[in-house]
Amino acid sequence: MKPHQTEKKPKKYAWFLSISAVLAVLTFFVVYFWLTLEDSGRADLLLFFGRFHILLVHLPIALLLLAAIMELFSRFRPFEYLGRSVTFVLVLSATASIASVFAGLMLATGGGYNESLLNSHKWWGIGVTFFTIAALVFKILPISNPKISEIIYGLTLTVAVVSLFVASHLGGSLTHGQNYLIAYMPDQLKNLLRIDMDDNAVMFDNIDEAVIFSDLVFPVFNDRCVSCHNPDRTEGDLRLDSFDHLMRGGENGPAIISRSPDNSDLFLRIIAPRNDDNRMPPGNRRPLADHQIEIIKWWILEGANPELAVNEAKLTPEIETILAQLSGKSPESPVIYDVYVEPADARAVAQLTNAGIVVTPVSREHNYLRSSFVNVEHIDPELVRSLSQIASQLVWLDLSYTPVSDEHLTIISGLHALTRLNLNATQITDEGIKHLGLLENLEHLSLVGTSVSDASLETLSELPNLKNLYIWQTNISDAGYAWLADHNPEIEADRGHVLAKPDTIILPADDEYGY
Amino acid sequence: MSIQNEAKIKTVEYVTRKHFLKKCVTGLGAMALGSLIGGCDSSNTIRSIDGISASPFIPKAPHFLAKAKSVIFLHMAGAPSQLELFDYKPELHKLHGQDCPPSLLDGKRFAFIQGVPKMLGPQATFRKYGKSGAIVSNLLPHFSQIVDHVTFMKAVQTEEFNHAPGQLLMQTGHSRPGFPSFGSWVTYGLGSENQNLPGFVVLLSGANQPDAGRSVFGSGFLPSVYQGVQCRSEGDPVLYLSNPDGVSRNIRRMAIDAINNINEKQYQEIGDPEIMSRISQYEMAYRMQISAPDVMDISKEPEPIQQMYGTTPGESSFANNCLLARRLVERGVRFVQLFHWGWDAHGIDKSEALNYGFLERCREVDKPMSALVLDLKQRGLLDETIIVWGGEFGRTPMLENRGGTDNPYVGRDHHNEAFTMWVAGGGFKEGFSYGETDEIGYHAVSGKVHIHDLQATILHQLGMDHEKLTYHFQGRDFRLTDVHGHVVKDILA
Repeated sequence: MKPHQTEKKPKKYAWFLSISAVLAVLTFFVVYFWLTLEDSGRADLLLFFGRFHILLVHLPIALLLLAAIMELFSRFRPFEYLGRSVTFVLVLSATASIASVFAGLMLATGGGYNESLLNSHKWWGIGVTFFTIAALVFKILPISNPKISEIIYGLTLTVAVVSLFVASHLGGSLTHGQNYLIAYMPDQLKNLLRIDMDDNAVMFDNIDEAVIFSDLVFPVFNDRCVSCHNPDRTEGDLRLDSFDHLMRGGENGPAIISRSPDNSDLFLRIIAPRNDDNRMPPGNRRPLADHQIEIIKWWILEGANPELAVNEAKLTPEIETILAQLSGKSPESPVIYDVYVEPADARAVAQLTNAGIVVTPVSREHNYLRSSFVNVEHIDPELVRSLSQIASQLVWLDLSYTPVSDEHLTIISGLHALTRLNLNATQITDEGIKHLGLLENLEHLSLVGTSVSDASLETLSELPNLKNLYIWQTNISDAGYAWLADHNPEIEADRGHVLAKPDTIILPADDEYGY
Repeated sequence: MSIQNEAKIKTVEYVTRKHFLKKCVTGLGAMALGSLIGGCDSSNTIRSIDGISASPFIPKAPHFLAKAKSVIFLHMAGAPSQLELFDYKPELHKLHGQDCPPSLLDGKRFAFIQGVPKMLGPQATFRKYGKSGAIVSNLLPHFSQIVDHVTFMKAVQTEEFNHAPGQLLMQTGHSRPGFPSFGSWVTYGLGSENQNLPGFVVLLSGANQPDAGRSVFGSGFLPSVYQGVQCRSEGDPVLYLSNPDGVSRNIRRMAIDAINNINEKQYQEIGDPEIMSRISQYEMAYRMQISAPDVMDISKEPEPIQQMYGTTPGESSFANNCLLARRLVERGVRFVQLFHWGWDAHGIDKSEALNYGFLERCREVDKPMSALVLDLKQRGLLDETIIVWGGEFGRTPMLENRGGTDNPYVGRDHHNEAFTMWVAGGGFKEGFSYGETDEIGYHAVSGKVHIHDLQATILHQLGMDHEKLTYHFQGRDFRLTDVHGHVVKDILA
């Protein structure tokens, strides 16, 4: 399509540009490795150059997008002339990317960032650079089949642009905190997109080696405090943008007293009640999450040391739980509540409520439901059947002291979300228990005062999440109980308790009271 | 503009001068009534009308996920001595009979101690029990068997050192009468599952009622439907509940319908939430005529259970009340409040002496309260029920010397700086002890738990934020914990 002559000239100067780019890369390499030589004492210089990353990084973003837009528009006749400049812009973009990557690597040596996030950002950023260069190569390299060359060029440019979006979002999360972009998204939209604004979102692959301050404590400050305690806006003369500034304190003296959270102004403020003027973050802002407060307290107790790693500090059970949650290993948390569920059909709930069945949300924050038949005198099988309309939401069900029998258990077996089921003093038998094998979320099952026997133990032992089983006053034998304990030690079976008659009861010295 | 402000403005718009004059013709009496029952805060009335319906006990969702759904509060009225039961102080043994050092007396106020009292060593022997190694005295031989289900708080603190204000602080969060009680707040916040029984039941035992009277289970400024309903294990379960001779259930129904009809009309006219309360109370009483006698009849319990609690059906006792409490909680009652009176062991007479009446009280509560914990456990209910045990304050390590002279029997004075309470179930730690006192049990050294902290923690386990459970009255929001209270996370499992 294009005239032959106009194609050749830009290629020539493109070659010139490319060679300059390669030289530039080499220069960066040399500077980078010179600076990072061990014990070179050039750490400050490294950070000095590194901080230019924030500035430089905007160049490839704009240039690469510009190249892509120009490429796209050049396909249309009125903008055809743009096609001739794409190569030029791409070369600039590639050069700028390379410069940003090196500056970024230098900045990263300073630390203070969430490690896993930093890692992703790094590799996506390098990816952008790689694919930009690849696109450039396929744009200018003479390949025998220009069609294939064109296709590969298009693909690499697309990949470069997509990686650019990911890398810049990750970079934004690093500087502004993970939920910066969506923090003020309308709740409806969040639900629609299934976005969970969990403060636990940071996951660690190897939390034992995490440095408490830079990986656990500082990200909290960075996310929640630094916006008002930074070099530009220094509320209370306190800066929280670095360890040194934190320890320097503010107008009320030191913010942290090592090993004494109860005397540390910062700690007292983050735990102060909502209506306390001293509370931080102030006003109606969301308080720090409990686990964040616990981690900060732990860090202060352990000496407020900036270098201390998790595996060098003393662990309490509470901290262990929090760390397990942060590293995503927490099988004991009530997992089902973390999964979003649609609200139950209001008509189904109304139908049950009108029949005297108690149906209540487990909390104002969840759509899960609990239900009790305590007000129902006569059980209508149809009523039990209507529970299946709320099967996805129903987690606690109390049917104790009702005439529920085996036929109802076939319906109950379909209530797959159930974590807690109370069947005390009902007519159920081993026949009905067979159906309960489907309840894979069930954690707590009460069968007190029923005729359930050893025949049910196999089904019960195979319930994958069962932890507490109440079988007092059933026909389960000693042998059956022992078999269960042996077969599934995860299940704690309760067979009832007695109070032993004590040896002595202390009575008043004389018998005037007539004992 | 918030919705409350809008409501206030609408009210002002509604009650115009013209309206006032019109109402004056017929309504002066109503105005007087309004000032008697409604207070002066117009927004209170508006909000309450929205908040209360003919079914005030409809279960409501908690603020966040709850560990427990009901509470049994075992209040030992008169304040048992922690030094004879849980807080073992060998050092106090050594100081027995010596004069109290002035450092413990300077600047302190006591209910009865005057001059320089003598120190009093522990009047019991102690041992470690269970896997948790909890220390319990020989006065509670049954309770020592269940210590692995219990969390002890050894450094509970209160401001009050007299019974009535102390009991009020424990039960209402304030030392003065007029505030809603713990059970009222909880049923106001969560409703109750059983619609045929009151959501908040009170069971009394011992020779007397609590010193602060009925205000320890009153509803204060909350709609009176949330007040504690006193039930009895002796005679009629609820006084004046059964129909008089010659009145059938049908006639009763017709009478209630007629009264409720009139009340509803009056409610339309005046809008006082107390009228709504009254309507729902009539309905509740009618339903209770059927349900209460059945639930309250502990003779229906099998013999082994009767023996476990040590009950004697038909009499009024702490044991009967404990068994009743379990039956009520099992049937979806939200809050059961027990008071057992008679722990005020000063040593002035036999019934109030550490070496007589106190031993009797220990024997009365030891077996039933232990049975209650185990019975809830074996039914799979302990983890969703909070059991709280304690008095309104503790006792001094000094021998009480009323008027500067020796009492005829052994006793201790009131002490508010450190005493022991325990909680079981409801997501609290099992086999745990929190807080310490000094070597004579006088001051709290670590792990202090103020009454407001305990209240905040119990509400937390019920899924409620004690700062959010509020009621607007006389121009401001009130709450159980006043302006205090921290959730004691260290005692939660």
